[in-house]
Amino acid sequence: MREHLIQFLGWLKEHELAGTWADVSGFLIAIIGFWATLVNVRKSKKAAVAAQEAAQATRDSIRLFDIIVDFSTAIAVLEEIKRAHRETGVSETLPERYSAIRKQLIILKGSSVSLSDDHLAVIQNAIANLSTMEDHIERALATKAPFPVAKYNSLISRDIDKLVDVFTYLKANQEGYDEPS
Amino acid sequence: MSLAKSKKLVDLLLAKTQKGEIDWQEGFGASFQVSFRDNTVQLNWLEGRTEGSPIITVFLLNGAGETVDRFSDEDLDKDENGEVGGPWFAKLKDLYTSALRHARGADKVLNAILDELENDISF
Repeated sequence: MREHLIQFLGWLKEHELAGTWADVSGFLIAIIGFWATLVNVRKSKKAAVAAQEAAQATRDSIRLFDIIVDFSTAIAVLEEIKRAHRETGVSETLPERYSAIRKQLIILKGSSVSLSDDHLAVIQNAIANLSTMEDHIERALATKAPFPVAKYNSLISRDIDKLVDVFTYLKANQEGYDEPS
Repeated sequence: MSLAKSKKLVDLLLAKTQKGEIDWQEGFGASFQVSFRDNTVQLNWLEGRTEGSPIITVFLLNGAGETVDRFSDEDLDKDENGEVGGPWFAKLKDLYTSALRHARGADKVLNAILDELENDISF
């Protein structure tokens, strides 16, 4: 073993790579130090990525919570509109309410929460119905035409039922976020 | 302006509706609609000036629910033959009837009854 090391030192001297054992041990220490640094850098990188992922998950969870609250509000407003149809029939405040809830649904549809095409179609359908109702009400207000409350409310009820399905899906998704990992 | 894309849309909707792939829903008045993720198609049946000659109009709504385009069977037939009451009226009428049956679940009910009756007969 000693002979091999002496031979190795001789070879290093010959090629002007090292003069003494101190040079060789310095070289080895440098390699070990470099390796230890690489390991630490890797560990730090992993920790930073994990922290970034945790922060992103928290942001997603907060955003999802906001969307669930907005969804719940939208459903409640649709219920209020049904009540207003029954109690007051055609009134000048209705188009404004349709417009407001329609805009809220457009924002919800555009939110970056991952919804399936079927869920997005449910929201789009409610938007289309509200837009058509807004148009009908404006005409009914102008011409004093009769207002088919039962038909309008049955369409809103159908939209509410389908929006509740989407709401339930979002709630289940949020519970997934809240579960301890 | 050519209505080639509108005709293609009617053909596709008709083919997919007949396969039961389009989820038509009842709309306001005599109308049916189907929504996709960003748009809606509405089919509207209006009685024409003479009795028994309805006009079937297709409305295209954007993501905000605004009507961005509309065309009727008369537009499509005039574009193709220069006169109304041609093959596009028949196609749109067929589409409207299929949409109505789908929206009201007529085929589902009919199939369920037929299944039950056929099962009764086999026992």
